[in-house]
Amino acid sequence: MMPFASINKVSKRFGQHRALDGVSLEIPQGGVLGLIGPNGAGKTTLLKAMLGLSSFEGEIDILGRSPRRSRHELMQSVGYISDVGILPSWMRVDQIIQLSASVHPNFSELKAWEILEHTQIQPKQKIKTLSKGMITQLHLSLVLAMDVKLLILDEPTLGLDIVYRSQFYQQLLETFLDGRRTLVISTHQVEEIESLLTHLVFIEHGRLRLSETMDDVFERFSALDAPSASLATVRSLGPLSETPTLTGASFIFDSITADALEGLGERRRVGIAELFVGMMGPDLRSVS
Amino acid sequence: MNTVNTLMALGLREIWEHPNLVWRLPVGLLVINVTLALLSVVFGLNYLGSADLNLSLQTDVNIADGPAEAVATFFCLAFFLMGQLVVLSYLLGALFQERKDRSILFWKSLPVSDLEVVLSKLLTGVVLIPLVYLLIGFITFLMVALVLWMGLSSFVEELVSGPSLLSAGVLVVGDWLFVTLKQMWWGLPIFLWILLVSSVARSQPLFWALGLPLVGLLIESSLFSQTVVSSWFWAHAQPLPLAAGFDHAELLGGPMIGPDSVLSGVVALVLGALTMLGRRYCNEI
Repeated sequence: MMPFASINKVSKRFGQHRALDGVSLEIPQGGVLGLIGPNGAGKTTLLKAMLGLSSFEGEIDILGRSPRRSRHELMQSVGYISDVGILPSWMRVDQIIQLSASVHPNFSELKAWEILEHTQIQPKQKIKTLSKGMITQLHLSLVLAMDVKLLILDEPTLGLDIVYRSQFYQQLLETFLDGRRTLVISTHQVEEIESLLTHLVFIEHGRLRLSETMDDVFERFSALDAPSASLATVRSLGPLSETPTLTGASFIFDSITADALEGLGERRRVGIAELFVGMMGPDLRSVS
Repeated sequence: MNTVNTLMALGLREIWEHPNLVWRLPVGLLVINVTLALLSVVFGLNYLGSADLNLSLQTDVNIADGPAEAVATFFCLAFFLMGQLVVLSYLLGALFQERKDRSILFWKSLPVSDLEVVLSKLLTGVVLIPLVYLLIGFITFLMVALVLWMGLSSFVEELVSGPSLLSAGVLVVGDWLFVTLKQMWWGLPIFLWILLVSSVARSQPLFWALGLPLVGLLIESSLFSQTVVSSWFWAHAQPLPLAAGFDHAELLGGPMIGPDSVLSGVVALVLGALTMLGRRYCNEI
């Protein structure tokens, strides 16, 4: 079965700096792919290449089209929300909805207004008078009203308070994620999206460090909370990472059996954030 | 979506985004001119006071031919030139501003091709704005002429009739409509040069739009005895009435399509293609 989207040996240079280095990835239909990486890892560069907003070496195929050659046709089926407000500040809310309806074949004005009914946004308001959270709500209503097959979100909730973030993901769950539509999301707020993800990708210095389904991730990696008394024994098993706690330390293991950890502490499912920090090591700059 | 519908939607976008340039400025000028005409009549009549002035205009000159035509030409020319300045200003920011404020990332997330975007901006700048300015210039003439006519009629007998005044204006605006249409083709290389700069410049588009041709002129003049290319460029940078020395016969006469028109078309095609590439590959600043 053909993947929904395939990225094949994609590279991108900015002068001497390699932002992407031979990235290959397949995205199945209906998947929710989390793209996690530190600042400067290449997340935005990869997403922009997928949207045809950036030149690149290699091949990208989305829904049978190349974003490089058929960007505007591809955009009939792809939606995008960026990390910073990219909606034209001079426009009014009713104008941007009217324009989107005029140029997008699948856009439903009724759906857009229905979604906005649950917000404080007024039709005649100018976008520049909206708060950051309201702009994100408006942008989300636009892409949801476009009935796209693939939604690409590049840190969409950056700078939003917890209420707006919660509403954002709630809206995504209720209106978009139906098992047929595909979502690619890059974010630092890993804990918020962990429950939504079906696929996980770690990227660092333009290269993929991990690309697995969530089931495979939880199968492969284990976490252990060990008391001080068993630290030496646990360390001898070659953990991926160790994080001190009040009572001992938390460890992450790659491909270890449950039997090997028997009696050494409390075994649990690994968290995505701690897995990321564990894999990226001491060079990691930031992930929240 | 149908390309024509998309172009119309994008054209509406341009009007929403630039209301000051597209219609508020010329309407403001209309209001100012009509107000000034009204004030001049009111103060003039007030100054003349209760003097029993009853002038009879004994002349062979048909007031509709001379002064009415002159006033109509004044307003059409003034609004034409103002419109051309506005076109340059509009095109300079047309593809630059959306990159500067990053809204190009939103526009490119819509299923609209770079060709459609460039075409919509070109049509707005080269066709819509000049026609709007000419129309409002004509309306300004009509309203000013009406005010002055009403004021003068109160003490001048046998003044020109309203229909004669109107027909004089219509004839003049007809000529200027023809000039405006010729200007669209005459100025196309320059308009597309400015749009190209707008699509690729990372800052100060005006500097690049003027600076590069000036540098080209310096280089050409130092290498060759004649500056053929630069002279052609700077000639087309002037509005047609200026380039023709305001010669009525030259403005309205001559073939619509000649060797220079063909060259303008070829240059415009090349610059248009480069502009599309600029829009395609140059994203947010």
